[in-house]
Amino acid sequence: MLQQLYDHRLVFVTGKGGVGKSSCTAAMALQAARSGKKVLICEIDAISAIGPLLGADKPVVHEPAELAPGVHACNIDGDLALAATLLRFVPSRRVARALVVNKVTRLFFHTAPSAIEISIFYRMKHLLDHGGYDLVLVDLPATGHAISFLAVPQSMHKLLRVGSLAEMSGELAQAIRDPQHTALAVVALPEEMPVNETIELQELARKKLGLSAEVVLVNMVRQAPISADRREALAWMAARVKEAGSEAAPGLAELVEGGEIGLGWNDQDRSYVQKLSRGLESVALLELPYIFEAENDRALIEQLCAILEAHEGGVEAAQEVVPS
Amino acid sequence: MSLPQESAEETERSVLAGLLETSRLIVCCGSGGVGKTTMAAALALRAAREGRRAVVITIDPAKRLANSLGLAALDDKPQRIDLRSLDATLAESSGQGELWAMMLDVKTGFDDLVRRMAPDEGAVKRILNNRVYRLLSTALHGMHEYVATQKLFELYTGGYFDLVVLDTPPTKNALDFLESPGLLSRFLDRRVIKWFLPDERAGFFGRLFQPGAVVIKLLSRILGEQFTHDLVEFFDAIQAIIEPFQQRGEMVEFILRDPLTAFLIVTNPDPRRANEALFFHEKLKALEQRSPTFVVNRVCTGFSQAQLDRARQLSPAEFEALARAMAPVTDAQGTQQLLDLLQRHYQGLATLAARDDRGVRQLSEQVGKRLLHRVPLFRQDVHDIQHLLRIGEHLAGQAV
Repeated sequence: MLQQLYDHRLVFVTGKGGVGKSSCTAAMALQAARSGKKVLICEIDAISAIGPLLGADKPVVHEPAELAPGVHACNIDGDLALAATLLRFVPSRRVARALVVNKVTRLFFHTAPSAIEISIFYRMKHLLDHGGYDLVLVDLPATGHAISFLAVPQSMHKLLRVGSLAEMSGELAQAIRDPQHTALAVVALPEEMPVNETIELQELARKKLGLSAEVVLVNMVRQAPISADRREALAWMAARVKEAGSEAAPGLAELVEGGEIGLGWNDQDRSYVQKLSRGLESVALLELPYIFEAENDRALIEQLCAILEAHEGGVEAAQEVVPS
Repeated sequence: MSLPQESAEETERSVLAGLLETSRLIVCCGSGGVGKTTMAAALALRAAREGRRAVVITIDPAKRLANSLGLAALDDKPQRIDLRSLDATLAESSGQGELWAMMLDVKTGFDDLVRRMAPDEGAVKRILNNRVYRLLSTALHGMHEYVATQKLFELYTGGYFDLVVLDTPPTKNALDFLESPGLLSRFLDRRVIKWFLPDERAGFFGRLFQPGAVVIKLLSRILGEQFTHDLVEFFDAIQAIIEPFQQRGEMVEFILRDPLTAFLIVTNPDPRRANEALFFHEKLKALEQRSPTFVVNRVCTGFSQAQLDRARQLSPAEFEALARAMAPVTDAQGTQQLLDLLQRHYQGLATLAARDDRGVRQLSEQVGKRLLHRVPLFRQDVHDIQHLLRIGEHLAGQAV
């Protein structure tokens, strides 16, 4: 299901904070790498999450490094990217550095609209063109709207109109618009806000960028502890336990209560998944079950990757992987 | 509906309960998705219940929050919530208390500020129509925070409200918010601006060697002449409102450092989020703020292997007999399968509860038990006033 996504050169992964965007990005990178691609994960000026998730012992920095077989990662540093962009326009590296460190110009670029963002895009493009990667997965910042970030080259192009930076922005905007080249993947949770935001994001992306989400990963969907045909039996048991009092049913009372809570959670999560699927119409949804236990972050990513892999064989297969 | 609680230590009045009585401003910080907005609304409601005039400023356009407060939607003017019609008990307990809510709209908020601060209609038009401004007011990093602090300034100094509860935008660094009053005023700093404006008095040589001329030349090369021209025009137009902007920025910094301002860090017990909360804690301390208060949201409690082990007091045969007696079918195999599934699920819950307990304890060791408030993971994701009231009870340490 995701293999089609991996056929793009550039995939932006977005989602509200706390939905597990970095975990999903890491799992997708592993999956793509295992299907033979050379993958780069780009974080953007972030408190890097990817390193620990992939069990790397060194921090992820501006220059890409290989974290797992076929999976490389970098954390684009805004200042370094800016200096590299400036170098295109000013005579020497020294002047470029000076502009980045100078108090006034530094302040200007840090507060002025989009100078850093454009440089970050430029850096991505550079990595894409000269890094030898088949696939670049961008873990977009959770802050603000991903759309306004992705629209930066476009608005910059309109704003500047002429000049070499305008040209550069135009090229970047075009690459973002090209559906053969670029795709958008959204990570959501089965909860009120993430569901609404995902639907809004999809509409905005279409309208403003001409880009449609290729896939939405619904993360942490709490699975039903028992199948639907056993619900009645559980309800019956719950009624008996209640009659008898929980002291009369040591252990059993807890199991039954836990089961009922689990079913309630599952119902709730299902209703949000349905809401999402109604709101998104043609976009593919990919559900990732809630994982109660993983030895460490790296193990969690492996489990997620196994679930993604199983999705290639259909939904039923994926549900079989739900870890016990 | 809440999961079982260990209530002994929570029945004491919490630090937050005290803050709700005395604070004039509570700033809720935290990373995205931890439930900041709900906490902010629950706190303001709780304060109103205690008889204070409270207003919550949120950035979250969640319709459900508005609905749970009995409104169709929140807008960018404070709206009064009719507490009496929402809950009968509130009518008695709230007395003189009032709850108001508003949502920030960055674009209109900023335009408003310009309208109010610019010296004349012409200046307003020049600024609002400037292309740099139009991009700036929606795209500039930190704008959200900036508009928030300005609204805060108005509501805080307006004198009507006893308590302002501010829900901050989720940022990579939750403390960007604290730095933002300074950020924009730094951008609008005269020192920066003078680089872009011709100095009339400097004379020919002065202008020739004016560092600003070099900067402009360089920027024209990078950004194109048109944009640089717009930029110079922007700075020229905005000069008039710089001073009031800066003054407000400084006032807000004062307010943030006032002893009656409290910071609340909302997090959840997931060790990774808890680590982020600790990181905020360190940074806040470094900024010479007082120690913030913590809310750990969605703590899964009440499940443990020990609970389940009570079953082991029975022999397996006794347990099976018990289960079968309570099962609807006589099919022994079916009952056993059901029990196995339930057992497996319960173990998942127990694992989660143990993890959450570790997360809470880790936080508690670092920041002190007293400053930590727990809100349980509720069985259902309900959005109504009762839900907010229940959260308020947990925050005030009165949940049973």
